Order: sequence, then C-alpha cells, then structure tokens
Amino acid sequence: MEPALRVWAPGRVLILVFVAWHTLTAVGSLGNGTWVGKLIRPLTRPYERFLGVYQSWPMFAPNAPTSTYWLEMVERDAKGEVLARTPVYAGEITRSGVELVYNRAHKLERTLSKDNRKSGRRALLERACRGTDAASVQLVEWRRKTPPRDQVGTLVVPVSEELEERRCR
Amino acid sequence: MSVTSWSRRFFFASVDPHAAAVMRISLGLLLVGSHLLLWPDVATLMGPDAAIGFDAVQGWSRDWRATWYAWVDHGWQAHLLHALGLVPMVLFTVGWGTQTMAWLSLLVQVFVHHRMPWIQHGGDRLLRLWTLYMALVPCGAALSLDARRRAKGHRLPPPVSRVAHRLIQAQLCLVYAVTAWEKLKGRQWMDGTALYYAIASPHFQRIPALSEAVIQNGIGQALLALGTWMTLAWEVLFVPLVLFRKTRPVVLVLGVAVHAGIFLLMTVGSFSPASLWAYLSFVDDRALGARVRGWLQGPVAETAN
Repeated sequence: MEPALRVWAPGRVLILVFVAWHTLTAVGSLGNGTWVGKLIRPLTRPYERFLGVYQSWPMFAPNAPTSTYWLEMVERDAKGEVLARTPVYAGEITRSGVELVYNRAHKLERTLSKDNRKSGRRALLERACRGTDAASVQLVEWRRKTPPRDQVGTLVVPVSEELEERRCR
Repeated sequence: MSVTSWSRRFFFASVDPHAAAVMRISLGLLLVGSHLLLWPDVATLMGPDAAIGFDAVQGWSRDWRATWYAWVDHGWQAHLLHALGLVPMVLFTVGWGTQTMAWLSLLVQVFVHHRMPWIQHGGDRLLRLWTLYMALVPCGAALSLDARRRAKGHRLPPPVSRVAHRLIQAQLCLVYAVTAWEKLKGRQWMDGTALYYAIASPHFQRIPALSEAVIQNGIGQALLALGTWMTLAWEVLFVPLVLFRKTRPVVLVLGVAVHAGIFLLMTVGSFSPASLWAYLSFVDDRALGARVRGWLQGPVAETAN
C-alpha cells in the first residue's frame, strides 16, 4: 500500500470540502434543466459561471453541424432598397492551404448565430450604424446565411434568414 | 475500510514529484501556447474598440463578470495586459511560487473568458479545469525553481498528494461519458455520417484539400463511417475500460489515435492537446518519475564516466 501523506489535517479537510463542492457543482451543471439542477444550481451557479467550469461537452453531439454560418450586414434606405451587403466580421469562410490556428473570429460569428445571443448581435448592429457614413442608410440588419451540405459533398445555394435589425436614423 | 482511510488512500497517497513536475511543465506550456495564440485577436476581440464591447457581454447574462480587459482605453493596453498574463503562466511552468502562480494563471484565463465568452471553446474550459486541479497540490516539488531554492536551504520538498490526479481522471471520464451519452441520441452517430459532416464543415477544416479529398470519394466516406462508429464505441467504453489496469493502455492508445486524427483533420482549438495532457494522470507516476530521473541522471553519469 502506498504511504498516505502526512498532510496537515485542516488543509486536508479543506481540500475534501472543495472536492465535495466542485462535485456538487458538476452535478448541478449536468442536471441543468432538471429538478436536480433546479435544486442545486441556485447555490453553485455563481461559482460555476465565474470559473466557467460548466459540464456541457457536446463535441459534435447529438449531431455534427450540417451547415456553416456567417453573418452579413444589409444596409437599406428609407424605401427599403438594398444599398450594400457586407460581411459583418470574419465573413464567409474561404480556406486554402493549411489552417494552423483556431479562428476565433469565425467562432464568434458561429456563436452569435445562435438564437439566445441577441445582445451580442445588437451590439454589433449598433456598431455598424455608428460606422456607416452614408446618410441614406436607414436600417441595418443581420442575416444568417446557412448553406447546407448534402451527403455527396456539394454546397447548395445558401439559405438567408434575418436575425436582427436596427433603425439607424 | 473506513471512509477516512479510503479518502486518505484515494486522495492523499503521494504522487512521484517528478511525475507531477512533468504534468506541471506540460500544462504550463499548453497555457502559454494557448494564451499566445490569442495575441492576433486581442485588440479586435478584447480591446476597447473590439467588435463587441464589454457592456454587451455583461448585458447578455446576469452573471457577475470580472476582467482586466475592460479597464483599457487603447488597443496597446489590451496587448500589454495580455502580455502580463503570460507572466504567471511562465512562472508556473518553471516552478517559481508554483501554487500561487497556478491560481494567478487560472485568474488570467478567467479574465479572457469573462471578456469574451463567445470565442471560447471546450479546450479553453479544459485548460481552466486542469489549472484549477493542479493549483490544489504543490506540483513544484521537483524540477522547479522552488525545488532548487528548497535544496539550497536544505529543506525537504512538500509531498504531492494524489487529489489533482484523481480530479483530472474523474473529469476526463465525465467528458467522455457526457459526450457519449449525447452522441447516442444523435442520428448521424448511428448512421455513420457524423464524421463526414464534421470534416465537411469549413469551420473545422484543418487542410481543406485533404478534407475534400476524403469526403468526395466512396472509400473516404466508408472510412469516415467506420471512424464514426469506432469513435462512438471508444467514447462509450472509455470509462469502463480505463478503470481496469489491463485494459487501460488499450483505451488510452486508442484515445491518442482519435485525438491525433482530430488534430490532423480539424481545427478545434486546444481541445485535443488538453485532452491528451490529462492522459498523463492515468500513467503510472512512479514509473514516469523514475524514467524522468533516469533521463536527468543519464547525462550526468556519462559526464562522470
């Protein structure tokens, strides 16, 4: 048998308390949305969110994404005529060669495409309104383009849907 | 066996200090690398003129957010703070004030996470968890500046308890168990198309030409179907197989192959290296420590001869 450490007892107790607390937090995180989560998370959520240690590990589950997303800004005038379409941030992904580094800008766009990221999209819209010089621009909107890929690997025409809009003037 | 003696054995039996040092140094290098890779995006994602301001991030949820990136007025200041964030990570790696530096390294990672949670991936979260667990033990007991200072003062190194190892092992098992459970609910993992779609997504392609070559021919698609089912089987069986000494090497070697494949074909951030790092906690620490000491003594012995 391995020799047990002669750890100062209060220190050992402290570590065991931490392990118990951290385990409780993990259980609460795993049970998010269930009665277990509802019971535990009010207590553990501040700790979980502060350290960002939530236990959601989808990793292409339940299904891998069949689409790619990018956001584009559509500028319109008072009559609703489209003045310009510009990629919001990283734009449509065009890759060649070898991608050595994880692209955080694309990650941001992918995340902002989600329905519950409205505040992030709104912030980007406000920024776009401030940044536009043309006096004719009345409205900007974010559109999410979603080109699905079928089983034989061909990209079809992207489906575009509006996510958010903001009146600039 | 009483709960007390079980917990003493399970959490507080000693780990070879050189094995703990290998884990500390490799984690430190991962932290430094991951932090440095953010450098080109610091101004555009976390500076004062970033795409999304800190107030918008704060408005997203009711959680309290703390980040030093919110204090800056100029892009260069964001870069300066980011560079400053490297200091505890480097000092943790070389083992100077090791445990304090582990906590400070965690704090720097939390600052990045709080400033821009929307650019974070699973690898970032794993690195935060690994840092948290390693901060609980004196992992600078060997191969560190702390150890050198102690040796000069003729003081004994502190014993390294097994608690960090146990938490890392449990966390890795949880990650694989959760993802396996989620995947079992997915149609693509059942019909064998999940890897096809994962590799086909431009978001994740490491070498687009290679990915396209694989997904556009029948043999490639058949291999991807096989790979999908093998990955699922490996994730489902990871926990039961890693618990037993005899099957542990098999499941870990398969894991290395899976993560190497992911790393070659896909860009998923630091997820693969961060997962593989945790495999060290399953390696026999006494054998690893003895090997490290052998490597270190080798050149000295040769010089003496």
